[in-house]
Amino acid sequence: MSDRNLQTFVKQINLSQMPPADPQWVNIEDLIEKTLEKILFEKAPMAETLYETNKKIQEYMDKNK
Amino acid sequence: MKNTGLIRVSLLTVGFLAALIMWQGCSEGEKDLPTGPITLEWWHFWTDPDIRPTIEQMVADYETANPNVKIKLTDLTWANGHEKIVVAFSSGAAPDIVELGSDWIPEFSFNNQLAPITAAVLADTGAYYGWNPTIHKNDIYAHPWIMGTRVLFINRGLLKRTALDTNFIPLNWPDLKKLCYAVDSLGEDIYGFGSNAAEKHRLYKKFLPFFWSMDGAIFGYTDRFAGFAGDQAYKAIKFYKELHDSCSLVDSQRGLEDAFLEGKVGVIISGDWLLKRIKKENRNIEIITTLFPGPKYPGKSFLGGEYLAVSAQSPHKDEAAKFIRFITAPERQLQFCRANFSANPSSKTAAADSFS
Repeated sequence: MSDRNLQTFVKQINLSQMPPADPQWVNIEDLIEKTLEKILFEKAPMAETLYETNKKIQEYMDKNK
Repeated sequence: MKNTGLIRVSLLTVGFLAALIMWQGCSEGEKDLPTGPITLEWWHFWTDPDIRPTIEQMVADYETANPNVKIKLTDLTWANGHEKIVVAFSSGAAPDIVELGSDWIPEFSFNNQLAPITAAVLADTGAYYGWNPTIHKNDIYAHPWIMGTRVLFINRGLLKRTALDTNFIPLNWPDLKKLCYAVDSLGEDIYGFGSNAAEKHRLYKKFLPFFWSMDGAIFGYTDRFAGFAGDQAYKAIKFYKELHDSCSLVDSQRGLEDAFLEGKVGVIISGDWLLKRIKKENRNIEIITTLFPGPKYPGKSFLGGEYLAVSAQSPHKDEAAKFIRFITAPERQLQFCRANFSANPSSKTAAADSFS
């Protein structure tokens, strides 16, 4: 691949990560997005908001344990 | 007499079973090799006029090579495609072949809505990226097609106006902050960083690279304990919020890309579609693309992709799997990437080719 910018993408793919392969991911994705919105746009406290999200993620995890 | 009768009945039964087995054997064979024309329905998302003709050409090429098969294309949109697929699977109206985003595959494979294609694609596993989301209970349920990652885009014109070196590349978070702050200080209407507004399916893709670059894990695969409240998540969101609050333009992804191309934002996170846009719109902009920085070099970016899967409801699973292998073959991926200016084919052979 000769284009320098395309080469950046080819290199980056080897340093990239996919979200977890899990049937609950679509729900977890939604939780993470809402968490980011609360922290970034509604000035919600970071540690408490992450803690609440983590509890909800765990509830989804427990469904498939 | 009773014994003779019993033997006669047993022989008749054996004969009947043998005939049944032979008939079933023929039926199985006929299933593998359809004698009459069959139609495979393919639901896909490539409606962009730049790429749609290439999709149609690949379908035509397959039909020419396989005169007993017709492919019926159905367009999906990202706005409601997922919902349509869910409804189709649950109502028994699923297509033979469906394009799925990498995030969606487990949702369908874990619910037995996809057909395993392990035997058909096993030979491909070493030659393609991105198998992880396709595997469930030791079977493969989809074939990677086109992958997508994100990198940092730097407006070099703005960089040159700062006191930093004109080739400055942020190798870590402190470097990234230094670059964004330097660009931000150039003027009231110039921003250092492009921070995504609340857009579904987009915002989290910009944050997770920061979290993963801290070696964070949303949950453990084996113990299934959530890990989103730890030090890694806290430090990642703290850094992201610092950029967001202090030197960012906040807008939709499209808005950020517009502002970047207009010289109003120094650094944004984007995908190969932005390269395509710069080329297509003949933009006179000097850019640097660089790998995602972490707290230390290198960081990690977000990886997603488009996959092709066979529905468990399809009556033509073997033909559908054969078609998927045709579409995802390296030569077809090159054809696709040239037309779409895509940077990340899943085929390693295609990725190594100088197709641009």
